[in-house]
Amino acid sequence: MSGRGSRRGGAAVLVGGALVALVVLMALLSFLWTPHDPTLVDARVRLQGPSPAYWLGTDRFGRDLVSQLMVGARTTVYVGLVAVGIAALVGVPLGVLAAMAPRWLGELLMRANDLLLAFPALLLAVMLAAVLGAGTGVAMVAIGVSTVPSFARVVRAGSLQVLRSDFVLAARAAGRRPWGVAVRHVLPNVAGLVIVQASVAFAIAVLAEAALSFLGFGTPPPTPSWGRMLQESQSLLFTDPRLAVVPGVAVAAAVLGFNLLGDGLRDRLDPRLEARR
Amino acid sequence: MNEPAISVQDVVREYRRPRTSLTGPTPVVRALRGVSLEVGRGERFGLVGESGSGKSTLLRIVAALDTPTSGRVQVLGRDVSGVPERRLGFLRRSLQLVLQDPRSSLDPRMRVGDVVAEPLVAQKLPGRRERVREVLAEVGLPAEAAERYPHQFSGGQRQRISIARALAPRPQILVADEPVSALDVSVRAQVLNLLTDLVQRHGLTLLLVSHDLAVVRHMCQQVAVMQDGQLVETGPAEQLWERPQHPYTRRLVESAPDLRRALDRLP
Repeated sequence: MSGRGSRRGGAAVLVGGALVALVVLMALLSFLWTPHDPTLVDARVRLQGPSPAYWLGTDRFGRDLVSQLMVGARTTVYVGLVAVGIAALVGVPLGVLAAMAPRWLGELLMRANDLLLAFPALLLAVMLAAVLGAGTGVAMVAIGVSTVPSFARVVRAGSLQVLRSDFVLAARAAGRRPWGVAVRHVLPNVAGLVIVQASVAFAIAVLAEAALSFLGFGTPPPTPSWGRMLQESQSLLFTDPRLAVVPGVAVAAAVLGFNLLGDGLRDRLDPRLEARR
Repeated sequence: MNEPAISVQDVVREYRRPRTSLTGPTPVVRALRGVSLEVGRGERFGLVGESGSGKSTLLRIVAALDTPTSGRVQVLGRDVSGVPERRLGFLRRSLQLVLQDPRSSLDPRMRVGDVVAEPLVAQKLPGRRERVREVLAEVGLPAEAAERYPHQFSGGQRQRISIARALAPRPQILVADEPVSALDVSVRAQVLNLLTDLVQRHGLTLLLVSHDLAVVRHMCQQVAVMQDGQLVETGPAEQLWERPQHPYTRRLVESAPDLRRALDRLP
């Protein structure tokens, strides 16, 4: 029984986990060591191809691509963590509240939530950036806020299911108040859903951060970011596609990694599937 | 102190279904249509009926987990329906629940020790650790069980955990909703005997809900038969079994397996 359960989603978790670990390790390593200074402009080595000194070559300012990629991973992980953190910190309590509140209040919260969900995340980010100015902080908040509704929705659905269960009935009969039910029963039982959602949201955040930086609303120069590397490669797309391919592959790998991890974890942690085991 | 343990007076429970058309009225389902019964202190009372007859609804209302549309419910002489939760402390201490399926009535993410201690924690009762060990022993589980999770136990053992949780706050009244119908036939008798034992040893009042007249006859002194949200017959268990008056009761008696009757029918 448990043998089958532990194998379910195994490959996805493994591959996804490996990709995610690669990105995180790259980001961590960049604090200690990079092959070159990622922001060092050197006109003598402009647009070089891969070589022993520059593993993936240099961009049109002569900056090392590997070093930029590594420090860019830092930005990606940082923005993802904070954005997902904001989304979970606001979305999870909101979802539990909407599930436990009187019906009319729950419905009201969820309709407001739908309204926010229908609003494109990128548009919100661009609006915020226009009002507050471009920057990593604004990007994180914008991505975080626009991810709140998806957390609230998933958590509410999961919470409703938990609240209908017999063990909540038994807890109420034992004298548990709503707060106790929420903390001791609802939260532990939706934790799996939250982890899965966080993983998927992380993928979305990585993509959104790249998109914002590409549009010039995200991380400002000179801090390296994958999105800005893509943007800078744009004008040289036909003469030197390598400049677009390198950060492009990095973004794709990170997004794929988090999505695979999320899907694999969903298969493992979904309480509905678990109940059927 | 002569008031009954549980008194249900003319309780009606109606549910509103979602509207089926925009202009039409919302359809109303009447789960209970004026039910009255009394369970004396120390009495073992059985409530029989098929699924959908309103047994479980009545049980939830008695445990103040649902509110009747009209009517009055008293436990140990105090009103429980329509009373805010913060004034139901006496009920939570004196009345405990054993539900049908121990796979769903035990939180899968909680250790057995925490499950059993839940009424004690929720009601801030002292001496948790010792009490948990005591009640686990009473239902025939080792003290180490407290460290494990519900899924590591068999169905019968899980129902014992559920019974231990109900006993933990030393209640006077035990309400059991089909306590063995989700269990393997082979362990049903064990769990029923344990329940009977505990009820007698602690002098508990028992309200047992079941679709199985044979189970109720085995455990209860008084029986009420329920059909479509109404009580159709009430009386001592043996009398109901031997001389059922209402046609529905007769049908229930006939459908219950009984060795002697089966032998009588042999040529």
